[in-house]
Amino acid sequence: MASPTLALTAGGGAKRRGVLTLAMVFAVCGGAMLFAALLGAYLHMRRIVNPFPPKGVHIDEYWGNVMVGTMLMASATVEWGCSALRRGQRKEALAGFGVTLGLGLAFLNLLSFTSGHTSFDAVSHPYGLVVTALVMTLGIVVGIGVAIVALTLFRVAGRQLLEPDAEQPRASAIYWHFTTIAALAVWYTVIVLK
Amino acid sequence: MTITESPPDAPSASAGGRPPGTESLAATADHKYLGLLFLGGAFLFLIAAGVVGMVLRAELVSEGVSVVDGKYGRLFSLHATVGALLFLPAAWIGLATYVVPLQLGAGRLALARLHAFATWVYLTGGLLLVAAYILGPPQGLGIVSATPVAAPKGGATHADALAIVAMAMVSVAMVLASIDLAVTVLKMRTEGLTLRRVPMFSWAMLVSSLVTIFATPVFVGGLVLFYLDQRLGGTFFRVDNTAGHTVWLHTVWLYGRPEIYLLLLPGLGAACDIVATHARRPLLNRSAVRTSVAAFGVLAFGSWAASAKMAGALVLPTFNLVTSLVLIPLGVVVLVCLATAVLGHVRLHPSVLFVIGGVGLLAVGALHALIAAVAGVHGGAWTTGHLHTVAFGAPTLLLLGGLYHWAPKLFGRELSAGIGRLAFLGTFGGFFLMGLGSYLLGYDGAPAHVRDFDFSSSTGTYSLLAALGAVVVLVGVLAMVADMLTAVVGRGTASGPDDPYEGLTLEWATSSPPPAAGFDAVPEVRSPHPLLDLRAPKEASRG
Amino acid sequence: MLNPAAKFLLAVTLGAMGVAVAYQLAVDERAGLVLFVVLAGAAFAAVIATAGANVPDQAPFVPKDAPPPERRATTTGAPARGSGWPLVAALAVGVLACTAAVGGPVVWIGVVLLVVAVAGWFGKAWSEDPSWTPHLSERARLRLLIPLALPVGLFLMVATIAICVSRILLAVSKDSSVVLAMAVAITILVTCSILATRPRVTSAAVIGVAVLAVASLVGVGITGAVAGERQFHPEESEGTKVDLEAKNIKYSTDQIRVRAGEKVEIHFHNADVGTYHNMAIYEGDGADAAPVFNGAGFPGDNLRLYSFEAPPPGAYVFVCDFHANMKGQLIVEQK
Repeated sequence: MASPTLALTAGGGAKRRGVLTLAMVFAVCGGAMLFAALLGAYLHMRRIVNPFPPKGVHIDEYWGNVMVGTMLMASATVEWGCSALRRGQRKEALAGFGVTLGLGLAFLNLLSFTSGHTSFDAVSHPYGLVVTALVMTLGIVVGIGVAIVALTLFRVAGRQLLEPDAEQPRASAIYWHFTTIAALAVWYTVIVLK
Repeated sequence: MTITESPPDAPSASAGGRPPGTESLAATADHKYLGLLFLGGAFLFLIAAGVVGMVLRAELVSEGVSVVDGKYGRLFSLHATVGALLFLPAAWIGLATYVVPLQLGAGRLALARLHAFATWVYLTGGLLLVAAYILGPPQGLGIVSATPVAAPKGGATHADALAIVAMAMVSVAMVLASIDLAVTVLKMRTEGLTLRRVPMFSWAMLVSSLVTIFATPVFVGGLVLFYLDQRLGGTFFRVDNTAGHTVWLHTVWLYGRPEIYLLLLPGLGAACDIVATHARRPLLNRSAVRTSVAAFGVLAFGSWAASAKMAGALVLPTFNLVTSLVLIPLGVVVLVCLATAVLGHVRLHPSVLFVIGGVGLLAVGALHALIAAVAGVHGGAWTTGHLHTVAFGAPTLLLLGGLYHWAPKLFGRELSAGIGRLAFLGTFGGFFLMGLGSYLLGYDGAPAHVRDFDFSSSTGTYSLLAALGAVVVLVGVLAMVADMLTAVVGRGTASGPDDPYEGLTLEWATSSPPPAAGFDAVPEVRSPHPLLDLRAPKEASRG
Repeated sequence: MLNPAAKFLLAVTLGAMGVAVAYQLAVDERAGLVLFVVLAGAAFAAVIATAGANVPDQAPFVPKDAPPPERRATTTGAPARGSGWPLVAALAVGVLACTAAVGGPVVWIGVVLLVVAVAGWFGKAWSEDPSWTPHLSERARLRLLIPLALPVGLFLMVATIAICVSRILLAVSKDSSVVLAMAVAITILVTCSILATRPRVTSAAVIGVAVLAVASLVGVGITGAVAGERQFHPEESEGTKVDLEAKNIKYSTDQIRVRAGEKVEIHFHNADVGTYHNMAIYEGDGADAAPVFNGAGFPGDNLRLYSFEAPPPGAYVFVCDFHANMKGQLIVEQK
């Protein structure tokens, strides 16, 4: 079958390493710019609208801090899952990705809970609209992250991705760290800076 | 390492289904079919937009005769949105999806299924966008309006909301396809084809894809705000919220975003490849062109620094200190192409005519910019003329040139040279007339795109000139599309010569059209022009 | 050593940093500044991802006295294997877009379809992994499909049918909804009877019928949702029609009289070519007056219908938000 001319590596035939990781980094760069647009809108408005936030808006810092803590923990556990896979510990990896999945779902639950108990609305003041846009985008981005981690978890459970150079766990971790940074940025802007 | 019970290639048989490369169109991951699908969608939407544009022009010309009473704003918005969002960027991505892997000596895209997903999302989103415009009530001027479109009290209609969501869909599809194209260029090159040796079209597509990855999500962010504002009937984009106005200019307004420069960027690379191929010699100075194309991409980001004050400025509405520098890389590319063409006694293939036409339109634009600067004219109809000439006319000509150039690979045969010359005359002459009419209107001080007009003066003649240009462009494009359609239909059985032009780059080393795996065999690459090395082995030792 | 792509990204990083500083000094505006700052950061991340061994960019060494290049040096290997799931997923995204445009709970139809498509795509990728065996698929079927996916899928199917059918029946008139419901029931009965009487039915035929039914149901359901629910209580009065024209930055009238609580339709004609106008109604004249109704602005020459319910009796102001001098009085009388 193999012809004698096959002296050099093939253009697309050989498995190219790092394709998924590189694509994920690019995707994450795009995601960062998405948040840049929304955070820029918030910060610009914060500067020129007075008073800001408008009167009557009360932000519950407690739940915000809990959510950020959740995301930071999830970032740690997803790394744990990846390192366990590199060490060949399938059970440990399952635990790592499973806990990440649970924390992600908890975050989404908290996000929908807090956004249902806000003291502002998106219609009457531009502030409410930007915050709604930030929260909605963050929810979608974390939701995609939960789906990605779930798919990785399923594949590990099905005894796939166990080779040391498997890329999907790495790419999932990169995406998850991006969601954590995005959550941190939103938390810092909306809750700390106000 | 898991012990697999079967060798890695076995699942293709056990998983059922047809072997890779022979799936039906709905299940294909073949970059060739995906590219043709992207191109087909782009031309479908272009023709839709062209017909709408002509209805508009007809209304402008015949004062009092209201062809589409009360729908003017909607139709205007449609033809601009389709031109800038659905046609040019998508057509470049489609052409690149087909040609770039062949130029790289790769048999496939890096993330083929993601690209298939992007293709289908683009087609679905485009159809939804056109449907929303046809169904819905007019809502301002959309993305070309420098004034934010305020939300109606109580929320917008479903059709308005659908138009915004569909624009977001198309944008996400562009980003996904760009991610795949960038990764393909970076990771799938054949042995020996370093990034410095990559053909210029692939290099320009890499730069353009990277800019898209960074720039288009900002548009999506603006659309999120726009969607929520419209849907809920919020106050964000109301005139009294000046913060909303600034955000609109950065994120939604077409001429405040780097994408406006990406309409032309892939065309620069395509022009270089076309000229070098038909001059049968390598580009005079590859590194200068490579740097210029990259610089063009970097400078495009300067669009975000544009503000409302610039809306009537010269060259493009986004013209400012940073973006004005794009004239330098543009000039370098044009000069290198010109020198290569002269030194190589370029053959006047239809694709070369299109390149000359595209450069000609850019020159016409530069000339008018100079006149306007001296006469102190800006804004209004003058800007309309400039946009049609520089931002849309020149890139469209380069795109059509690319299609003629790569037709043997795309369709298995060359497109008819006679129809090609006709299409060239139609598109070039049409864009020229269209621009000229609007420029002259602009010198008379007419506003941009007015509906009813006083035709007692010369403005009537100028308006007629612009309308005539639009019709001529459409005739040229239709002639070409008809030729392409017959070529697509005959693609399955066609088999043209592999290398009709004595090309330099790898896409000419495979059959026309290429097999499912892209290549039967990829030549060894030791320079930017591997096919030239094969013909003249002595040259290779120097490369 | 950086390859050209990494150099390009580095140029973007440095350029964005430079422009960010210049923009801050010259314009001092946050929305643009944040874009440039984040661009610098993101582009730098991309520099790291494309630099060095991440994107190999070394040509093999060719000695001076090497033989001429080979015409058939390498092959490209197998082409990419396709799948129908990307198309299904894209169509699901399209449905999600339509439902997002409509808003409300129908969005979940789109979300569910997307989840199903992603799951199918994932299952396909799973079965193509080298470690996949029929034994594994049997186990996955026993552990996942039957206890989990089947009940959830059935629930989702019933929910989808209920939502879609209710949207359709709510959109059409009362009498036709009865006829339509009967027609659907009979169609289902007849189709199933035909399928049941056939001695042998290919699975392709069943799947085809099912896909057709689901697609048309969801499509018509979304159309119904877009059309909105019919009026359950017929209007008591016809309402008032008012013609209003804006020309040369002036309204055609400076007083409009309506009755409280009735439906008002303003046929608003903006005759100023290229200029934005609208009509908004405020309680009182001051800067902090609360808006009662706010019509969307649009450029002339164009027509737009504004309709709203007349507010409680009293005197209001109607203005053009774009031109402060365009003003008039709206007088709401007792019913």
